[in-house]
Amino acid sequence: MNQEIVTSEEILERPDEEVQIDLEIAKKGHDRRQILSVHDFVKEAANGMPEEIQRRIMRVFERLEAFGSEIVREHGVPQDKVDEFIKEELAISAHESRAAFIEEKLKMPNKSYAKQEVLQSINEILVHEPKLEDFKKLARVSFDLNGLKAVNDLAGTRRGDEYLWLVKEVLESEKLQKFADLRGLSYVACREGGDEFSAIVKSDRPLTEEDLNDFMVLAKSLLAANAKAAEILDFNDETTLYHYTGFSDKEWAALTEEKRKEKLVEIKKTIPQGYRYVAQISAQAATAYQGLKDALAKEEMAINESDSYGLILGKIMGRMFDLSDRKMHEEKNKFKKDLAESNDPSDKMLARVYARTDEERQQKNILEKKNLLIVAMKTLDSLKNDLLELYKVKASPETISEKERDIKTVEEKIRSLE
Amino acid sequence: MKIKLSSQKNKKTRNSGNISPTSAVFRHIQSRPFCDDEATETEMIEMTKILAQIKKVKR
Repeated sequence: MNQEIVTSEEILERPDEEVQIDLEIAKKGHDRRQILSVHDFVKEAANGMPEEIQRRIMRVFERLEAFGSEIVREHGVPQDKVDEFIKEELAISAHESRAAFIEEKLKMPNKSYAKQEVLQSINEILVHEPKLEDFKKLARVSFDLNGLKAVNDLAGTRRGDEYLWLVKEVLESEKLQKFADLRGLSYVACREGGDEFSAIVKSDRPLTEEDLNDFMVLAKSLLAANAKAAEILDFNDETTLYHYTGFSDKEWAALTEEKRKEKLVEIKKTIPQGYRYVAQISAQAATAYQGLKDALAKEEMAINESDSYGLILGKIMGRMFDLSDRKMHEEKNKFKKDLAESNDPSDKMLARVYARTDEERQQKNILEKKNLLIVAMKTLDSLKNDLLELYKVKASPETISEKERDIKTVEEKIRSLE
Repeated sequence: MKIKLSSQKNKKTRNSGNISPTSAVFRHIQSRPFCDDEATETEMIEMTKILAQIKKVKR
């Protein structure tokens, strides 16, 4: 059941032995489906999945089971045929849930899952007679891994992926789980995309400042203590070193052996003695209580009297996500500023590593913006020509006003880009 | 002797970054940014109203 779906293109690119193994696993999976009862099958389909996904699969199963009983009773379809149908549908449902809520690279719950988990948790709070304090029982911790771009640029994307795995290891580590257990907390760790992660933290009692700050300090400490980071971005590695000073592989290869040695000595002089790269993650949290409070301050997100239950929940969730992300970015910027102003040699080195990629990113953003501006201006030009044509052919007022609206939209876009 | 070398190696890998307690990195790791800022009286009234509304629309 835990097999991944492999496309035919992927199979064609793979060696025969691997394909053979896949086919055998698939056959075993099919045989297993035949042997297991529907109840065992549903347990296996949901096994190891995050809670919300398990609940979804169970809901599908309950509906299928009710439907199956009716078919057996009303139409006399044999039970084993119905069971086979239920298993088939469950397998599809489990696969779809996995695709919708589990991200591919680290096999962690994704942002959609994090949102579902928050909505479900707010709903759980509201099942009982809630007080405002109860909204403090739920929080989202926003994490952002620092230096992913630097690792990708200097050591390659394969190393970048290993760097991301370090965060998964920390967030799913026994130590962090144990800490949560001792405090009476539970959490789900998610990868929301790129270098962004989150933890949806819950408790039966209101979460305190100490709970959330200790949780974040522990996660940051565990990551910083992981020696693998210095192996991933290794400043003793020749390739990392020449990438660090801006040499491309081609430029480096064009140098003579002697020149390369000379350059390496020069580069090493700029790196503090015994420097080892330390992974850093920035973090901040927001409770559902703060989400609710923040919704009061934002006019466009204000909760109105006509809002439905689902919409109110969505707004509280949205504020929780925005608030924790915004504060996390403030924390990240404060850290970078602190690094840049520090006199510690390792801090200065890390600031250089981050700044190098920040500058590159800024230049890329400027370039992208300019390209967008050129495209928008060309579009505006063509729309204005179209409008002239419409006037010439005396088009209907509706067609003309539609074109004018398009022009206005593009003009607004240009103003936002300038 | 071999055992000693191995344990030394482990110690070295555990102490990955030689992070100085005065460094910005150390301050960042130890920073406790989350603050449970209390709501003002007006905010409390507004939030209580929303809670009442939630209870009403849920029914």
